[in-house]
Amino acid sequence: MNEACSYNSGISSTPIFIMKKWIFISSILLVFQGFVFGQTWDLSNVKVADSFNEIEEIFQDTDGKLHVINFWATWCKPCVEEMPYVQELMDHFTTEELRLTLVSLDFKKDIDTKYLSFLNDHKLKGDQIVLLDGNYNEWIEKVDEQWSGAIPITLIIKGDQRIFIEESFNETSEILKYINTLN
Amino acid sequence: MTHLLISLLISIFSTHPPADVIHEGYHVGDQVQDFSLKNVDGEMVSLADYPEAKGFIVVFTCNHCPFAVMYEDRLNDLFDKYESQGYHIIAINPNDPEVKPDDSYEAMQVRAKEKGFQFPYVIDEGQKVYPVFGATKTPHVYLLDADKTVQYIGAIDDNARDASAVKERYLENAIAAIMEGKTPDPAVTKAIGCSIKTK
Repeated sequence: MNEACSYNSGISSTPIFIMKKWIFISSILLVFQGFVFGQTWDLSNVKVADSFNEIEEIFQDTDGKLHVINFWATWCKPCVEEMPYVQELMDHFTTEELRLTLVSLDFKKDIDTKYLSFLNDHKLKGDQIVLLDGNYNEWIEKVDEQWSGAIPITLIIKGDQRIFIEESFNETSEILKYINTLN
Repeated sequence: MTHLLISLLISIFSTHPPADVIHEGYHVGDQVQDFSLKNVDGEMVSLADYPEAKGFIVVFTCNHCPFAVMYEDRLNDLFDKYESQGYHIIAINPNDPEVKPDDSYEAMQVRAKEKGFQFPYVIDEGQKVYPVFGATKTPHVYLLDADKTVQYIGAIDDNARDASAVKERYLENAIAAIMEGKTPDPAVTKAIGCSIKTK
């Protein structure tokens, strides 16, 4: 009991200068990251969609360019595990050839914390969307009729060709194999 | 005839089932086979243990998945409401504990105690039952009638994150329909969930 009390009082009396120091260090780190590693993700370059309608157009891509769309979330272990392989696709194609979109199903409360940290810590590439529309039954089949709702899933779209994959990848070559079946 | 033989041979010798086989399992209208799975209290649980049942709420769920966790209290509410009316909840954890230690049998025992589950929370040891159902994620509900025929498959309701903001109680509406001898509509719904963990 005593221990719990002293712990709590310790938290409430955290000196302001320590907080300031932390904010200072974090801002330096963020700027540093921006210069050295390229893009820093924040709410200005991540699309947060409250409704599926706001992003529906990305599934009707018809410019003939290869488009890979991956549904994931930071709370989804197999999604996080396969992310390096999805990211590696960007090394196999130019940005002219491939458009990669990551649609996260993270929760609203986690966007500022877990979600953005993950994007920045792992220096993720591609277009970033967080889809908050919780009326799943209304939009899951609009993504693909075969989709049961489990994540991760990957959609590969090129013109009118479309491949839906409801499984996680263990290496990049597995995704490339699907892509290579396209004309 | 030759074609038939060839395709038969191909299907016999093919080591990889075609992709569409993966999603097979029970559909609405199918009668389910009974199973015998170990509950957190050590006892085996089967549908046959409830000879007077009017129906079953078979829910594939687990400890680790945030969507499954968001429905734990609602499973308790469903138990309070429907157990006495003859609709029994059987919660099945389909995950391989070696892949997801949070979903081990011991962790299930702890979780069931913490949440005060009064319904069986059984483990699909060897992961033999969930593929027969065709469950792909947690949570994933199958509502069975007294004949053990699937009447509804899908989500509990339309708002995982906020029980107080639910507009459509899919599962409860389906139970109400079969109580009145009607066909649930919708009989299938979809929701986001965690894929079932296998090696």
